[in-house]
Order: sequence, then C-alpha cells, then structure tokens
Amino acid sequence: MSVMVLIPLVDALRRSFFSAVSNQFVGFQNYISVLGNSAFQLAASNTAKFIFVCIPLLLIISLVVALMLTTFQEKHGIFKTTFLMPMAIPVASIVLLWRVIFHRNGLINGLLSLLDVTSIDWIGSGAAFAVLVFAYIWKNFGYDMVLWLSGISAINPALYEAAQIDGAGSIKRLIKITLPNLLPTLFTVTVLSLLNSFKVFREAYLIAGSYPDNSIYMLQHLFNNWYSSLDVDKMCAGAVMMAFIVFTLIMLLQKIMSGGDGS
Amino acid sequence: MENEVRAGGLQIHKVNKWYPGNVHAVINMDMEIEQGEFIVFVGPSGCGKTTLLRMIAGLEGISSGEIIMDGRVVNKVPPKNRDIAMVFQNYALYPNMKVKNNIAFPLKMRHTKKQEAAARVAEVAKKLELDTLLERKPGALSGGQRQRVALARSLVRRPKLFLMDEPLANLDAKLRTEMRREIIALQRELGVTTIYVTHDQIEAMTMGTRIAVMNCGVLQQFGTPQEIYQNPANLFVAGFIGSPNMNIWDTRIVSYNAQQFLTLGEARIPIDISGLPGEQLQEPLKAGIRPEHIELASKNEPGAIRMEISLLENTGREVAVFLVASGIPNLTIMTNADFSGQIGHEIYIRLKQEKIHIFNGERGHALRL
Amino acid sequence: MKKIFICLFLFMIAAFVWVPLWMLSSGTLMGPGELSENLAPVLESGDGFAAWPIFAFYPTFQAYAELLFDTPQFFNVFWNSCKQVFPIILGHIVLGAPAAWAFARFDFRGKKVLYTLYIVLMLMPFQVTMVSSYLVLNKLGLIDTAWAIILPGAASTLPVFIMTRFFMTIPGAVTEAAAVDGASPIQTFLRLGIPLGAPGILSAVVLGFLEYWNAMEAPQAFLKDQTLWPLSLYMANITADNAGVSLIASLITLMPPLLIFMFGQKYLEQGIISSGMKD
Repeated sequence: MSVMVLIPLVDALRRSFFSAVSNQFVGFQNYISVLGNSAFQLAASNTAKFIFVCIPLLLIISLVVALMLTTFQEKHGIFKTTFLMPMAIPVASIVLLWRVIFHRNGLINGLLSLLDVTSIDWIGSGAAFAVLVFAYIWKNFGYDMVLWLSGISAINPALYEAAQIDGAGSIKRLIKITLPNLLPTLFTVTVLSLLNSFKVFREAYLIAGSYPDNSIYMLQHLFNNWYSSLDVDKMCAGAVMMAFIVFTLIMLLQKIMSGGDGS
Repeated sequence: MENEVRAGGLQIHKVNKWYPGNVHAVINMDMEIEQGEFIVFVGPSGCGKTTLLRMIAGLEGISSGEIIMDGRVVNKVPPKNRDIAMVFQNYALYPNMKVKNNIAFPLKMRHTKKQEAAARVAEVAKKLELDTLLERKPGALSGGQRQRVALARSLVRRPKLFLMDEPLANLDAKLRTEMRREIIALQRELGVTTIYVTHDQIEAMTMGTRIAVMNCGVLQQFGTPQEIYQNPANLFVAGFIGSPNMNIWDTRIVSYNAQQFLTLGEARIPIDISGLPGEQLQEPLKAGIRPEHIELASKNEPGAIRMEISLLENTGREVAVFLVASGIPNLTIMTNADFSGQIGHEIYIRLKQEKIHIFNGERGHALRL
Repeated sequence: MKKIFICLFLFMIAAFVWVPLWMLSSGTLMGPGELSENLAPVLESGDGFAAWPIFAFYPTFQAYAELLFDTPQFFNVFWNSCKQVFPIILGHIVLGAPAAWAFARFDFRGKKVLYTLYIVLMLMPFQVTMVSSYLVLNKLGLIDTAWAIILPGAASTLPVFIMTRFFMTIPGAVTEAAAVDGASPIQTFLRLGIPLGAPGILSAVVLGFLEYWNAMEAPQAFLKDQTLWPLSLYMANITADNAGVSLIASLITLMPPLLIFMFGQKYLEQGIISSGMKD
C-alpha cells in the first residue's frame, strides 16, 4: 500500500534535479530558481509568519481552556462538545459567515462604526492575516484542547493531594505540578499543530480565493499556482524541500517522545 | 530409548530458549511427564517457568531441543493443533462474548455440532456453578467468577494437556485456597495431564504430584513434594521451599577424639558422616536444617546450645522464634503456640542430627541424598 | 467567585462557536428580500454595513424550497461528496484494519521501518505528495474521475496508525488464548480483533469522515470537471450569487459531519488522543 505512495515520491525527488522541458539533469538549478522566486519568498515568509503567530496563540488558548475545563468540573461536557464542534464544521460551510462578518461593509465594521472607528477592509488588506489566524484557531483549538485534557488527566492525582497537604494553593499547584507535568504533552501538541497548520490553506482559499492579499499568500497558494501552470520541476523541488522540513519535524517529535520516557 | 512413545505423555528434551540480546531464558531443560500427572513448575519470577510453559503451548518458539507430545515432535505445530487448553494468569476471557460463548469458543473453533456444544457447555457450567452467569459478559463478573469461566473454557474440550499459568495469582487468599482444592479435584476426576506454573511454594507443595523447581532458566530439581522437601538437591531448592526458610550456615567437619563434629559457629554438633563422599568434605561446606527440626532443650542437657530470643512471629497455630547468640549463626525455630518465651529471654536448643543437610559450599549441591 | 469567573470566560469562548452557528441557522429562515436587504452592503458593495438580526423578522422556508426544488445541481454536488467520502472510509476499514492488525499483533521483518514510514506519510502535507500523485493519476488516466480522490484517500495511513494504537491495547493473552482454543489468525482477527478494536475503527471513521468531507486540496487539484466537484469546492464558488441558497447549502453541508460528531464525539476524542500518544 505504501509503495503506491513511495515510488512516486522518489520519482518526484529525481525530477527535482531535472528540467521538466528538456528532461536534462540540471543539478540544483530547480532549487535555486525556486528559492530565488519572489513569489516563493513571499509565500515562505508568510507561512513562517503564520506558524510563528498562530501556533503559540493556538497552544495558549487551548491550554487555558483545557485548564479551565478541569477546574470547572460541572457542565464540563457541554463546553467540551461546544469547543470540539468547529472541528466537525466544514470550512466551506462557515466561510460565508466569515465573509459577511469581516467584509469591508460587514458586521464587525458595522459594530466599529457605532464606536466611531474607521472601517478596515479585513479581507482585502494586511488585516486578512488576522482574519486567517482567527478562522484557523476557531476551527482547531478544540483538537489541541483534547490533547491537553488527556495530558492533564494523565497527571497522578496523588501529586495534587500531596501538594494540598503540603499547603500549596491552587496557583502554586498549577505552576509547580500541572505545567511541568504537561511538558511532554507540549511537544506533542506543538508538532501536531505544526503539521496540521498546513491545512490552513482551506481557510485562506475560501475566504480570499486563489490570489489573496499579499499578507496571506501561503506556500499552498504558490503550489496551486505552479500546479495550474504545470511547473513540474519547481513543484518537485518545492515538495522535496517541504518534505525535508516536515521529516525533520517528525524525527524531532520521535526523538522527544522516546527521550521523554527516560525521565 | 529417550524418545520412547507414551500415550498422553510429554517429553521435554534438551530445550533451550534464547531471546534477542543473548538472553538465555531456558537452559537445557529435560523432563519426562507421564499421562495423568499434575506437574507444578515453581521458581522465582524470571526463572523461565512461564517461558517453558508457553513453549509447550506453542506460543513461544523453541531455540533448540525438542518438545514431544504423544511421541510426536511438536516444535513447529501451531497451538491450535496441539490439542491443549490453557488458563492464563489474567484469565484472558474474550470481553466481547457472553460467558456461554466464551466457554463454547474452543468447540466452535473445532466445528463441534451446535447441539453437542450446547450440552457440553451446560455440563461444564454446572460443574463449576456458572449456570446462572451464562448470559453475562466477563466485565460483569467478579475475579473468582472470571477464574471459573477461564477454567470452564479450558475444560469444555477434553484436551490432551492442561496448561495453567499462575491462574490463582489474582485472587484473594480465601478464594485461592478454595479454587486450589477445586482444581485438584477436577484434575483427579478428569485425569488430564496438567502443567501448572506458580511462584507460590504452598501451591506447588499442595497441588503437584511432582514439582519442577527452576531458577535462572535451569531445572534445579524434579520430584515429588516429599522428595523436594526432605531431600533438596541443592542450596537453592533448600532455601526456596519451606517457610520459614531453612537455616543455612557455613560449616566444617572437625574430628575430636575419633568423633566427627559439624561446626555451628563456635558450637560443635556430633554428626555421622559415614554415608558422605569423603573427598568432598575437604571442600567448603554449608549445612542446613529446617526450623521444625530444632528442638527446645533443657539447660543441663549435654550439647544444648544457649541462645537469646530476638523476635517472635506468632501465626496462632505455631510460633517462629528467631534466635541470636555471639559466635553462633542466627537460627529460626518453630515451636507450639503455647511457647512462653519473650524477646530477650535465654533458651536452650538442640539440633536433630539426622535432619541436617550438608551442601557443597561453592557449587551448592547436596552431599547426602 | 473564581468559579463564576471561569464559567463566564468559558461562556464567552463558547459564544464564538454558538453565535456563528445560530447566525447560520437563523439566516436560512430569512426570505430573499430580508436577506438581500441585510446583506446588500456586502454583496453589492453598497454603502452602510451589513446587518444580521437575531431572529428573522419574516421567517420563511422559501430559501429551503428554492434549494430543494430549484437547484438540482446541489443534489449532484451532495451526491459527489458522498460518492467520494464513503468509498474512502470503506477503504480505510477494508485495507486499513487488517494492516493495523498486522502492525499491532505480528512481528515481521522490516516492521519498524514500515511503521515509521506510515507515520511519516501520514504527517506529510498534501502539497508534498501532490505532484507525484498527479503524475501517477495522470498516467493511469484517472484525473477528472472520482477515483482520483478515492484511491489516494483510501490509501491514507492515518487510519492505520489510529487503529494500530487501539489494537495494541488488546491484551496479548486474549489472542493467545484464542490461538490455544483453536482459532486461526484470520478467525482471531474477525472474532476478537474487530469487535475489541471497534472503538479504534470508529475513531478512524469519525476522523476520516470529518477530514474528507472537508477536503479541498485534492478535489481542487485533480478534478477539473466542475460536475464532479464535492460540496467543499462547490461552496467556495456559489456564495456570491445567491446568499440565501448558499446559507442553506452551508447548513446542509455541515449536517452530515455534525451528525457524525454528535454520535461519535467520544470516538473523535479518543482518535485525537491516540494520534498524540507516545509509542
């Protein structure tokens, strides 16, 4: 089964060193032209920016929600269901609403105008980046929350009882017990979130189409545009680089996961 | 001659098991088991007893040697074709099936006719008092009930061989005693050759017609409970079987006025060494005596040894008395429950000379068998 | 006191989920007049700002009728989605469960390497495999057929990974007992593996359904023919012309995954957790 996927991947690796037109070996030429491409630079820097802004926010929000859910035992279920629900909502279904809300003449600006704040074109300007981050976090914080919750529930309750007997307050217990014990979970959540973040293209595309504002032009847009123009050699080079980065991330995850067992 | 065919018997011939990383879990195991015997494998954890059982079941490969059932080498025969039944330590019931389907599973897998299967299930359920539980799932049963279901599942067919891997380890003490008797009775009734693995020496002594004591993958002694208890083959068996443990100390044979004595620290115990291999007496020796073979003595008796009570363990039926004295190894003795001594008191004891075991101090084997 | 504060905070966050969902469902009851009046600033780039009443002032099922009776195209698209997603899920079960069972229960040469490979493939973003998949599908002449979506989807390694995690929690003694009791490996899988691993299979199904119902990348790349498009792609392209219909289409699109979520939330959570578990 995996051979079906693997052989084409090896083929892509080979093609990344050949010219698509003349089928001649060109060495790293494809890589150089990809790296020098201004669209690539824009997409890569946007993707990096998105990851650096979005992942920490996502992690913190989902952790705070998970911690609150654990302290707030009653009605736990309803909230958990609520927070997970966006996972089940197809991006395509909710995107119309985002457009109405964030449009230049949309609901947010309507509210802002009541406060005499000048309208912002949320989708057509640099603010689109914020909209994208919002839409992505909206859909994905439930996933991370579940991971955090499972990490929290794995902490030995005797630790809390011992700390309580030793006179530690709830803040102390949070800082001294919960957070340190969640360290292994942090790595897992981070890497899984990173890998999931490649799916943000759905939001970006649905909100703003194939050629969105420069601030949310992502690697995935670039790939799609290459794809439309059948730039196979560029795509192969890009795919190999992306695969390399992802592979590094995965190996890092594995190393951390297996290393964590020793403690 | 070694591969002589016997119906229902089991021969284990020079069997070895290596695990990756050069771990030698079972070493040159040799055993002949007769039809209808109740054999107990006993030893500390990691002694290879479970590994050997699993090799007999076919759940574990055999690195070298042969396992012969009914005169047929079964090394490569998969478990399902070995005509065995096995009871696992954690019962290994099928959680998704009702009790009756759990019990019927081995029959179903062997395409027994439905009617016959139902009759067999009903019969075995009755025998084990499971009739009222047949419609439940294992999750709704207590530990003891699960144990009965596991037994029923193994009894429902008449296998050539029963294998039981610490089946009572997870039960509480009272239930364990009851089930122990029940298993013995069932085995006597059915006459099926049984191999029973345990680390509990009481189970070993009370259940087995013969006991195989193992340690570090090596068979230490294979014999009846009496043989094992009365004539331990080596220091390991002597120390492992019996509770409280046998008293064991370093010793020498000394002569005085043409009479031989065994040293007990600074004390001397007269001993008859006529049956012992003389040349081995020159090597380092250890001596052992079971606590119940040390008697209380009166102060003036010749040869009485004076010691002080350091600890008392009263089981209600009898009292284990722990003794110390300067220049003499610590000893444990067993006395009646009406023993009146207190910690710190002095008492006098005498060792029953004929009950002393002598072992080679380096290699551990017994010098008198 | 602290509890009240936390509760308020959670309610606030929950509002971010509830409000959009409420808007979506209440919006579907607005008549075309009301809707276009409210949304004119957005849709026609007029002046002023869009509005969204909490309840429709003149609730009507007109938009529903329009979608259900006058938009045959929508049924076609809905059917496309089903035709692509269900075979994928079926593939996950039929191909994935035995593979997962093999990973969880048997030792074979190269198992570790193969398993790592599965994990790596599972985590690769679509863009990495896009070119190579295209080249293969193109060679096979499958571009612009539903198979272009189904085949790569069914061969996905994520369900194998999740099911392996669940199969590994079945105690070894249970399958050994079955072997002693006379069951063949296939019988053991069918009679014990599947029933006992059912939560894992369901987790994989729930996660798979949510993922593939929502999938856009593959259909966008491999389906040029618009009549084959699934809901997710279709939705991206209808919103502009008819807000009322597209609202209902949105609502109907989210119904199947929402239903699956309602009944399968437990399995969704287990699936998420197992994707983050240590080896």
